Amino acid sequence: MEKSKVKILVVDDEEDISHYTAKILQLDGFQAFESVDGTQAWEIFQKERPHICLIDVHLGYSKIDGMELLEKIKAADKKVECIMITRITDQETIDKAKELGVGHYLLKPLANEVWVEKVHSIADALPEGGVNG
Amino acid sequence: MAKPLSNEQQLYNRIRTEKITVPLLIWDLMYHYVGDDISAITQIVLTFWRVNESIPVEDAQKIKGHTVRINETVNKILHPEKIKNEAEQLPELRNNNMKLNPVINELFFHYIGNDVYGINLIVGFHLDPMDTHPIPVENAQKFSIKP
Repeated sequence: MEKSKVKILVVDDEEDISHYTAKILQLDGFQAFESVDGTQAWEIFQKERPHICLIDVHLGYSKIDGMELLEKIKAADKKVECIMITRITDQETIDKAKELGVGHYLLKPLANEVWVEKVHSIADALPEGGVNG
Repeated sequence: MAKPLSNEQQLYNRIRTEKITVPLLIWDLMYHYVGDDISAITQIVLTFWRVNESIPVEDAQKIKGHTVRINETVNKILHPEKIKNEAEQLPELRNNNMKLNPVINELFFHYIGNDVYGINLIVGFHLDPMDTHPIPVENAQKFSIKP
């Protein structure tokens, strides 16, 4: 699928992470949206129907946390590619995300460009027209 | 990145022979608090690195803010007993007497402390409000690791 058509939603309660992650993806030619809050992220998802979602498991003070957001997204569209951003100490959450069909994880801290490569490889594998197109 | 400690091998030997461990709660706090700040610094640097641009003042100040927070958090985690004001203590540690083994303290302090100090030095040196693009990309690259 053409990169400029791929929509990506980035959700992280640390504003600098969500903002700059989305900015890097935009520089790489994707359509990227950012959110620091689960409720707002869900609204963006419904409006934009992104193909890929990068979701921080821990959304701090948000009414909808990362796992709940994942459940809502997967209930709305099973084919959306979700990448959960988590900690190595979060095995329970990783297991739960697996049950929901998540196959991609990124461990914090994001200390290099591995995550960018991961997003590119997932985007490259998207079918023409998109998973929800 | 900080150079290895001269007695590093001895410290690792002690960890092995004395079976020194880090409580899961401490790891969790490190990942939760420090992990977010490290990730934020990485994303800021990568943004400008990818387009080979210097880091503007506003963004450099954000990096500085994250390094200050890392320092504060590391102090709160490694030396909770020194934080007298209860409001400033990490709630997760308030009711836990979780003193870390000095070997672990030394390693944490050395690696996190020196790297944060290094970032601060670079940012502080270039952070001139009169300059619109203060941190040259080659210096900013020292903050991050390219695979």
